[in-house]
Amino acid sequence: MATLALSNLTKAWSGKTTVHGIDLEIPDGAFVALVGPSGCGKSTTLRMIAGLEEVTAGEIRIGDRVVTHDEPRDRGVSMVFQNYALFPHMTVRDNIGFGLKMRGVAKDEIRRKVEAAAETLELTALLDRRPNALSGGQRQRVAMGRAIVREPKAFLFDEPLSNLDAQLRGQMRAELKKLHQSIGTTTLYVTHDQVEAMTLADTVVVMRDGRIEQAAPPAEIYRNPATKFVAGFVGTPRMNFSEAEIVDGPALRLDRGPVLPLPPALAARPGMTPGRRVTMGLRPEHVGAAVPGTPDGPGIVEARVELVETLGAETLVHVRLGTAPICAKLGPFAAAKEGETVRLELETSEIRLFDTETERAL
Amino acid sequence: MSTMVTEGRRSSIAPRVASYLLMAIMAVLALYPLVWMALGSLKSGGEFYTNIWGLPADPQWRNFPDAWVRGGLGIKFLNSAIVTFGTLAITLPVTSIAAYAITSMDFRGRSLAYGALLLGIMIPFGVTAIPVFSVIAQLGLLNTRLALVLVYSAQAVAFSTFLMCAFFQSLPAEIEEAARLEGCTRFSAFWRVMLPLARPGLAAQAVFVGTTAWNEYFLASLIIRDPARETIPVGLVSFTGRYATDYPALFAALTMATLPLLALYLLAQKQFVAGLTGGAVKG
Ligand SMILES: Nc1ncnc2c1ncn2[C@@H]1O[C@H](COP(=O)(O)OP(=O)(O)OP(=O)(O)O)[C@@H](O)[C@H]1O
Ligand SMILES: [Mg+2]
Repeated sequence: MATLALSNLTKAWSGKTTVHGIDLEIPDGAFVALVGPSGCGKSTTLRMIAGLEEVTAGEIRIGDRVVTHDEPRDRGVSMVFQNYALFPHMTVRDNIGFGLKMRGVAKDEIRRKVEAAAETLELTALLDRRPNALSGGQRQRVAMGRAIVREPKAFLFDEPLSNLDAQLRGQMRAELKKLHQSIGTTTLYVTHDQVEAMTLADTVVVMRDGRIEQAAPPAEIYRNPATKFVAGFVGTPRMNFSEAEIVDGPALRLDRGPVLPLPPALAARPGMTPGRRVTMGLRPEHVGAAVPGTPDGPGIVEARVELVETLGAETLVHVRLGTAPICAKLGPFAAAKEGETVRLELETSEIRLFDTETERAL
Repeated sequence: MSTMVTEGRRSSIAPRVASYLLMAIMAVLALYPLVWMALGSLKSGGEFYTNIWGLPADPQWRNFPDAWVRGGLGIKFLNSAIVTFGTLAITLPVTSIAAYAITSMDFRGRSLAYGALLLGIMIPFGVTAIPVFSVIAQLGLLNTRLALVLVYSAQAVAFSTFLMCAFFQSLPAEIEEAARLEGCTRFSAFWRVMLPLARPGLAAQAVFVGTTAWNEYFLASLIIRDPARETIPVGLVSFTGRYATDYPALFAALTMATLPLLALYLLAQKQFVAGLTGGAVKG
């Protein structure tokens, strides 16, 4: 176990830079999830840490050793690949024990450790099978076993669950969490799946175009996104955005829409001068149905329903406020019909503002 | 519902029959010369001309020992075996290491090396015969089996490396990367993981290169003068006389010369098991 520190980590391929000087420190034993849209450089970052990709500039430290130019085998990290990358010509036992064997561990000890790992991952009955006689989920476990058995300084995961079906993914996610709680190895986990990121990680790192947009605990990322991009990327259905203008008060007028009060903390910010253009963000769960009989007031709006999605546990109602499409997350089987008008109550205290130019949170 | 099923079945039968028919024709085309050769080797000199296509009336098994002794085939088999194994002993390791380097290592001149392979494949061997001969002469290797080993290896290297490149490229790169993370050096990743997975490629190459070396006549006849160092294809010429050819004896010798190749095919075929890499990646 060790801290994992990246400073100014950069990768360029024939002049085209895909990772732009990343700085990140993962404390000993932490679980960090790396998320971001496809092609933003998550895998590249992970592969540079593993030593599978040459570093263009910057430094990688594991523990107190600089490993930037070390061979992969000298870095003491384990990696689980999206496609598992098991050795097809070896049994499960040999796959899991391969790393120990390469490090010259005694046969008896390999046997003991492999069997202990197999026990943890419920692979004992499969130890003498070849990978082609395993299901996807079992292969996944073997890959995990290969990673944990040699007690690395850090785990690197590249979308390890993305080839599993939804149910198995949920199960493996829970097991991963338990595993991390019991062995506590520093982990960097790349994923597309927000649920994985939010549930597993102490810190979520959102990447975009080779740069870190925000690194913070999951709740903080969700509640106080640093940029409009993070706000839109984290959370489903995604945050509602509307172009707006500051008006006297200070309050907020959505373009060709209602005037909304600003949360006091935001209203007190300097620079909230009337006429300033901003982008408002408000999550769907903060747009609710107004209780019947509520008098008109700040935050109460009427809108025509454009689309209703009934999901069972909740109902998504799509309306338009001014120019902006807005999604409201209502209770189960809410009585909303397309074409009708609904009264909605916006939780204006949850409004977030972003600078229209820089897209940074205000 | 049921009509759909029967229709589906009916329409899938026609292509199946056609493909079996095609395969049967191909099999007959491939096997017939072999069978004809084996049958001819059991006929007497007279019957060979009177009963060209039929089964031998009275199988002449002694054609085989006769041909063996008359052609001095023992030493020629040995020579051919030395040359063939020598060639394989050079090409298999050289080409697999070269192909591994070209496919999975990043080095300057890598695409140049790959291009050179293609160039090597495109040059017809006939064109190089005279330069090859003079190089062998200058090296003082005329009339040696080593010369054949070197020349056959050189001729095989380009195509075999190309073939092995294709095999390594077909393996997921993550397998090798996993090996290196698990503690392998570049070489041990090659030796313990990639090479075992490329066994079908090695087998294909062994058949290809082995057959070519075993059967090569032209250069062997140029380079080897001493009958005690002749390979089988050169030795077989002694059965064709200026005025008459002893066909049954020639066929008996040919049949014997083919047997080692058949053995090589069968040995190699075991390696072509489908799905050797199955299970490495997602399923
Ligand atoms: N070998 C390579 N040569 C050139 N460019 C590459 C290479 N590998 C990746 N890239 C580029 O680097 C960028 C980042 O790729 P990367 O694989 O890190 O994305 P990612 O965030 O992992 O995406 P995904 O979520 O789809 O896996 C992409 O634009 C990709 O095209
Ligand atoms: Mg990726």
